[in-house]
Amino acid sequence: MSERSLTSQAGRTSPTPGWADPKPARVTFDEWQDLFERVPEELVEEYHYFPPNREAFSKYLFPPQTFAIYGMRHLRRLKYDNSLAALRMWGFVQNETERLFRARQLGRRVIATMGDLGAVPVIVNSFPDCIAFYPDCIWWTPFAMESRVLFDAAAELGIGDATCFSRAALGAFAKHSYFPDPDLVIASTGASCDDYSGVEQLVERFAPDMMWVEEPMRCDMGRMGPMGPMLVKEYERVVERMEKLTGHEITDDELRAGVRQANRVRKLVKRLRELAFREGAMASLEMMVVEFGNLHHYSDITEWPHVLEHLLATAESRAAADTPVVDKDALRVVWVTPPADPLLLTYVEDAGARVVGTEYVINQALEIIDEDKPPLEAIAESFMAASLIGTSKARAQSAIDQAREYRAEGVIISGIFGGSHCAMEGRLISDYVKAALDLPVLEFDVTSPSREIALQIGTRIDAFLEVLRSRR
Amino acid sequence: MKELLTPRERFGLLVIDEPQDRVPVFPLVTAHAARVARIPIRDYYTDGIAMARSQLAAQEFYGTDFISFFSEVGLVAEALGSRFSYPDDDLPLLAEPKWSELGELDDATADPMKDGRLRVYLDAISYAYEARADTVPILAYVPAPFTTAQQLVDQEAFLLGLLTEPERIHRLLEYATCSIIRFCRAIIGAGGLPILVDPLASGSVISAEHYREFALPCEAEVIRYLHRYDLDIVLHICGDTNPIIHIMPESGADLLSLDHVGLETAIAAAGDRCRIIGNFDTTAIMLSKPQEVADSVAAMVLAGKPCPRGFVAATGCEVPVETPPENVRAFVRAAKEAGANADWGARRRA
Amino acid sequence: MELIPRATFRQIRQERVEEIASARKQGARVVGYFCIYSPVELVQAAGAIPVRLMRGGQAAEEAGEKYLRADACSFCNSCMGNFERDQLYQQVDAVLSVNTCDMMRRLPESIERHFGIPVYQLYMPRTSEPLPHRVAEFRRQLDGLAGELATLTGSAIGTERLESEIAAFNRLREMLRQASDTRRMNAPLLSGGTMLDLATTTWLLGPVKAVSLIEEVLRILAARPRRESRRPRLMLGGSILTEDDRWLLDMVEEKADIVTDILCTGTRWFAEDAPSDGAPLDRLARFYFSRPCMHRRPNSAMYEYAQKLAREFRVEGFVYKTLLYCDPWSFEVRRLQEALGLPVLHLDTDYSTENREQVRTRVEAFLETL
Repeated sequence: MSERSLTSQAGRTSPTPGWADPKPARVTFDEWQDLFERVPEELVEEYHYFPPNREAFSKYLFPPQTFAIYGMRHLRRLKYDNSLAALRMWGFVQNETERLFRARQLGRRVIATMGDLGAVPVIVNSFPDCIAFYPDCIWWTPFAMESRVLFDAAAELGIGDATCFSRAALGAFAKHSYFPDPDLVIASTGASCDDYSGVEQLVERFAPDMMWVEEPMRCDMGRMGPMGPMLVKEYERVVERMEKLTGHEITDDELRAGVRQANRVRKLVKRLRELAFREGAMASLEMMVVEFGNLHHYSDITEWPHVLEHLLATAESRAAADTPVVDKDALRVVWVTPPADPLLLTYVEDAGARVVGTEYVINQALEIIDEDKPPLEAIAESFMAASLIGTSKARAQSAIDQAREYRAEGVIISGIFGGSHCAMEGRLISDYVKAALDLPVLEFDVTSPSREIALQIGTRIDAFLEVLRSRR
Repeated sequence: MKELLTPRERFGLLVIDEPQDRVPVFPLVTAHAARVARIPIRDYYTDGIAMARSQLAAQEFYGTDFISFFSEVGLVAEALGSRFSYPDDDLPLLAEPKWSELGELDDATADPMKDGRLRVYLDAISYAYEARADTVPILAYVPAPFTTAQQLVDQEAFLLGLLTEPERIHRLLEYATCSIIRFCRAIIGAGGLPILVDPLASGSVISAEHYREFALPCEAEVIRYLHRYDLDIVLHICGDTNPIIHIMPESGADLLSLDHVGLETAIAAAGDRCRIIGNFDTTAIMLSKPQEVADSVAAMVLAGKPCPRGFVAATGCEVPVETPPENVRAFVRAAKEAGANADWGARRRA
Repeated sequence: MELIPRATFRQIRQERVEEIASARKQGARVVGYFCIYSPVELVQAAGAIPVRLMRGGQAAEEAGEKYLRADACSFCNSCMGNFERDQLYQQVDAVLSVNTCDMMRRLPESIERHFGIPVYQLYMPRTSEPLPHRVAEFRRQLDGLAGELATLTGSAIGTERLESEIAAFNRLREMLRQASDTRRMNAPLLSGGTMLDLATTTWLLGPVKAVSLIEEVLRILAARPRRESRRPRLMLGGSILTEDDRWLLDMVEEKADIVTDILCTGTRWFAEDAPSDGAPLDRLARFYFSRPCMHRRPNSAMYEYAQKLAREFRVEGFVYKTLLYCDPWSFEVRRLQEALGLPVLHLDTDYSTENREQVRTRVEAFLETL
């Protein structure tokens, strides 16, 4: 989406002049167009990615219609928070492909960080003019587009259907049109999932410059001892490699600043989660987008915190006024494993539930990094809390703790048929949760991209929520 | 041979100033699609589903990079009250403009869901969107205010008015603009990317001065509205655009779709600001032999490729309804071959 | 005629299982392990009996599906099923598991939870470049494992004993290589099926008894007249092939010769010896770290291994058998095909027996093209 004339908006006193959020509600695609028509021109001109850049092309406050026209068909089926902050968030997030290409055009280095569960971007973003991005999150694109295009491209390279949707990332690498070809690919692998490790291996052919990083296992079963020191060494390699790439010798202060930068995001998200889960001040769809931003900040560590601050201000004011966006009395569920199909969240909320806890396999990225420790050690320590590198029992415990904290009435586990860890841990997590809490658990696999969620899954969700209702 | 990129991906690269695997290919297949689908043209422009199916069939048959909905430029004028006749197997004809002379206006605004055949377009867009929008951009031609105005008022009276009653002309243009923007909004909601089409603003009809005074501001207003949505807008003006090519970018258009103007001239005048779409002669595509079409297309693509902001291999105007399909295929094949960037993937990785 | 009847191998294995059961009654401890990254020398040096858990079978797979899901790989499901029903698995006092693929990494949690068997989980870095800190981490874990094993058996691992076990297992590997290398000849007498049986049986027997069995096989081979007819020379590869998969090899070898393989239950089990320089645990750490497997990243060593064997054994076709949902192996099919430049038959199946006729049709069609 191309450049426009730029109107500078200096000297503004109100963050959103000419605009007051309507009464909080989840609105449809069409309703958002009506709302967008009322957004003042000044606000459309106001927000730019990569601040302080104000290039004409870098505006991003655009409605779902914009991205639907560019192929994101699923946006037509979702329901959205009707606040300006949420609109801003969606515009920002949807704009990521353009942003990455523009980053390259602006002379920045674009680094693909794969499979690292949020740790490596903290290091990469500490380097000047380097953008860490996360091909992993392309797994949502086939759903957003309701398209098999990326899966077909992955299949041509050897990854067929019976595996995780993250294979879309391989298709995206092959196509050279979802992000610029990275200056460097940092592929982490180890005690994570096979599907993505396999994707990374096949990506190697598209990545002339690729380094592998070991991500060790956490010893939840008690016999192995800590592997943090090895991880620190791995991160030292990342630093060395980045220094070689950029010619910039990074200082301890710069790394510490990088950690603080990541923590700023993590603290904002922590508070947002609290407001969403306790007060219903944000809906689950927006919260899933928010949580995943902790991994890679949607490739813009400078602007993403502003987006989050805007969301947080909105959520705080809703909490203060007791005007939630989702019914606080809705059925409370904890969601385990992020659904690749965001429509599931819309469906569940429409059916009368709300999400009060998440175990989206990225919980390590939600934790604050210790700013008093040497940075690499602190990042390694935070990584070692990762859901994916430990036992299913630990994942289950995270869900159990949140269910207790927010008085959940049920747990939903969404999986992926053929996903390596889903196959092994779905039942275990379900068993642990049932044993600890006596809560109903619904476990299902997300089906392939489609206009609507599978009838069978819809029926199972309805029946599950009926059970929860009957237990009140 | 299966191509690596989908038309959607290719277009996506074009509009963010990134090189593509090859130039996008866009013979302006509009009502000719009815021939591909073997349906009467009248069905094409009165039945949205038929229109969509025809376009889907044509896109698949020819392997073009866009689906584009268009029948004729009177669309909005009809919705505002001009009367059109619908021949069985030909495009609508203006039977009677809403006004025979410049005069007082009413306060009507065309309702896209009710008036004229606007709904036909919206139905077509929605249908095609659901069918193929993940892989192919769905475009919808929207007649620009200046062209629409000439379908609302007797054209002779309108052209005379440019000289004698400019204020009335401006009010008429505002009147048309209002409905056009409303239509654009509905198109956006349905998933289509509006293309602004302003053939009656070409140098074949009016002077450059009149273009700047009357047509350009209205084009700019519609485009400003569309830019609020961050859409990449094509301005299509067929006919002779030599006199206005240097000022057309002032409309704010992101892509200029051109007809009778040398590509070198167009690129020199606007290629640093807009992507150029053009400009194969539509008489030639209908009347030449396939090999002649292919040779000329290859030459055109070689001339267009150097455009700094990008180039789309297209016809200068609509592919005539009776164009032999083999000629359109020759166009597409030759444009793809000549437009290929052989080192694309490798260069991007380097 | 078959060199050594399958039934003979089966009988030897069964006798060994009974022997293990009786040793266990006498106080011996049995450590089950899954893959070639398991340092068996250490297990044996601690006085425990290492047994590789490499049985499959449809019934076991189906039994396992109540613990895992149907989209867990057949091998993992059958492991769970076999703990429930197989006599050998029921002898296991502890499991030594190495995190090769994701599923194998997660399997111990289910074993421990459902069968109450303690699991020693070794973390082998998935990254294959032998950077000092990675090898050191694995070495550190071997230390920990040695301690755990000593606790299990009540006897500490002495250097002398460990050296002796390293030598013994190296001898076993060397002998298996000798046997396998007989297949370099134009019309090999040792079939791939027999080689699979020989490997699985000898490792179960342990190095001392195994060596005499291999020597016997080599003697039989030497006494056999050369075969005249020449058949297509094939390489076998893919996910783990278990004792129960011999049917596939037999089917292929009705009309072709499997002259080599890149299987972890085949040549990769014995391709190299543990090195002889340095302290024993350091050597074992270096040795096991450097074993190629498709799940390692990058997995270029695996490709080099396959290319080397294909070249040296004059391979004309490649039968690639993956288990459904086995990502590390199934993702690589296209790439392997490109890298080897050989005709490839890819079979992607579970342990069900219903599809064997379909497999036969595909195998025969493949062989006809060679």
